[in-house]
Amino acid sequence: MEDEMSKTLVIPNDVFFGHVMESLAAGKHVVFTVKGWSMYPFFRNGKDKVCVASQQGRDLKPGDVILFRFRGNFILHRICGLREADDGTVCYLTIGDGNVRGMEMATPDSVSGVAVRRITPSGREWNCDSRSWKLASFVWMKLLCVRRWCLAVLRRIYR
Amino acid sequence: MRISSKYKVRDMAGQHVVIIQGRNGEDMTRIISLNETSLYLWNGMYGRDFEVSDVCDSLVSGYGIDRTLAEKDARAWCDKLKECGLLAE
Repeated sequence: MEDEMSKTLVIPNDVFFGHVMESLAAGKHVVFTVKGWSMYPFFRNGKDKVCVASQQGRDLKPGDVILFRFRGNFILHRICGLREADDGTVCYLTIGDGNVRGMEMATPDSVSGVAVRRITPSGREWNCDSRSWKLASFVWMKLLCVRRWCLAVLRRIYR
Repeated sequence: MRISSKYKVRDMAGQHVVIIQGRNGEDMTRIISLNETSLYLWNGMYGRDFEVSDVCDSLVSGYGIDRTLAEKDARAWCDKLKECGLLAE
C-alpha cells in the first residue's frame, strides 16, 4: 500500500483541468504545480505551485494572473491589458511573464480562475494580493521592452 | 473513527483518487489513488463511524480471506487513512 501512495500519477491535461474547473466552480481553491517556463520568474517550471481561486465575483484587471482556455489549451498567464471585441465584450489581453512576445486574447467566459498565491517548494507563500507581489508584477510588466535581457540574467541566477 | 466528509472519491483518468485538502484548498499535487480493495473499503466505511474490526469484517466477508491477514490489512488501511489525514476523529 505504501508503494502505491508514493507513485506519480500522470493525468492527461484535459482530464486534470476538467477536475480543476469542477472544483473552482464549486467555489474551492485549487493548488497545482506550474508546468512550462512561460510564467517564469513568478512561477518556475515544475517547482512553484499556484493556488487558483474562482474568478466569480472578482473584478479582473491588468496584473492579475488568470487561468483560461485558449485554442483548446489551459493557460496561466498575466493580464496585460483590456480590449473590446467586435461584439462589445471586454476581453483580456494576456502574456506570460517569461514570454517576450505573443499575446492571447481571453474572453470573459474562457476565464476559469485567478491566481491568489504562489507557493515555493520550501512552502513559502506569496500572496497575489500583497503589495510586494503587486509591485513586483508592476515592475515586471513595465520592463517588457527589456524583458529578454532580464530573463537571460535571471535564468542564470534564479532557477 | 470516521472518514472526513470533505473527501470524495473521484474518477480521474480511470483511477479512483482522493484529492488532499491542504490549507490552501484542494492540493492537486497530493492525490491518493485507491486500488480496488481500498475503494471497496472506502465505500463501505464512508459516512459512518467504524473501527478496525469493522474493516476486518468487511475484508473477510468481501474477499473471503483469512481473519489474521484481514486484521493486518485492515490495520494498515486505517493507519494509512490516518497518516494521510483523511479521518475525522
